[in-house]
Amino acid sequence: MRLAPLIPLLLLGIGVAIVELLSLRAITQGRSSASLLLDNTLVNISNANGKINFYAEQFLVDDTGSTADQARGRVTTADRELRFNAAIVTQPADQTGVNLQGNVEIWHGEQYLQTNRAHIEQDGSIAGDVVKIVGPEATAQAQSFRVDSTGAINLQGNVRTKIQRR
Amino acid sequence: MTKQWYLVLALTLLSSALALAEEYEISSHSMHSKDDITEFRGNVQVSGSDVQVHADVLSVNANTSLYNLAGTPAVMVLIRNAVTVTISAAVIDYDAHSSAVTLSGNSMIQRGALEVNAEQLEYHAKADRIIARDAVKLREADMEAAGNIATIRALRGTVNLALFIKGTPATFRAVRAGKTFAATANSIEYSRRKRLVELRGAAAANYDGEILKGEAIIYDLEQGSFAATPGSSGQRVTAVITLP
Repeated sequence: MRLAPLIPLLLLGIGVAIVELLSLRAITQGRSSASLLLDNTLVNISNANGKINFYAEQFLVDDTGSTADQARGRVTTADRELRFNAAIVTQPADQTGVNLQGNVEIWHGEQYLQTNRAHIEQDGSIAGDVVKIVGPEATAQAQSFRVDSTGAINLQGNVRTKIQRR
Repeated sequence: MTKQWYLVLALTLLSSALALAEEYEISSHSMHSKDDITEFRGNVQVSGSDVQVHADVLSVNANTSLYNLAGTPAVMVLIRNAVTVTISAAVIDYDAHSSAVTLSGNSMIQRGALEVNAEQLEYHAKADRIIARDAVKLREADMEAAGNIATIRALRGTVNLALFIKGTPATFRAVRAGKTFAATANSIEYSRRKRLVELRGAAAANYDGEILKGEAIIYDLEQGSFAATPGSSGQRVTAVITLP
């Protein structure tokens, strides 16, 4: 049997599955043990505050929300763009941004922060615990951090900043 | 300025603004950075090859290169031209462009062996000059003075230290070759290099028991000689000299 005529239909089906992934979660939330697992998935989350999109090697939707493994992506707002990667990305059921865990790196231009746990809102604000921020001429470490949607940075707990002049 | 992720920008500008060390570290309990202002709070310590700071709060304006220290007291140690300058006050403002430090509230500057206390102090590092206001007291190994306002020029070395102090009255005391010179006047000018003390306005001096009063007195501490000028209203110069 020749499959060629079916390929466009097959691709369309996969595309619909990806685009509708988040709405699938709403469907699964009504079930007691429902789950959906997809490989090599592109996920888009957007609302009026901004947009989060990421690519994940695996993406799981179940009753508690969605989970992505080995994800990398970006957060886009009106005035900045953050890139991130993490071992695990989860989106809670209330869809308030995403949680990043495990070897998290969040980049903004030449500077980036490293942490094991962070939460990113769609307005671009980020919060998390033990953090190291690295830039061209400065590094900073702290027990917790918050970068709000305006770009203001708050570091708390045993803050260590090192500055090198060129 | 576009709202950005300010930390590195602010700290980079901060490093340029401070212009103090090739590398330095800041430790604190917290840090807040927004636009051009970066503020460190709680047991703030800065260490570098030519600066040490301890304060409760360090606030830096990267745009104006001004930074502000507050503490109980805030302490800043600068090493300039191989001279250690220790600065202490409730509030310290540092202008990195002009290298000027302004202190207020129980202020103290220790420059080598010289210590100056006042309510308000300015230290101009480039000129190596101290300006003191309100309840001024200064002392060095063989000299001390007090008054309301004073200017001290170190001229890049304690040998050339020059002092001008005014008060109601200003007081001055120095020990030279085991002899004590004590004076009061409305203004007192002292040059360590020239070993000259110039007293002006209601001047009175006691040099190892020799008492001198006049409108103006110039004392040569090296030679032990003096010249006195009476007041303009026909007053006399009074001298009490103890003969050997």
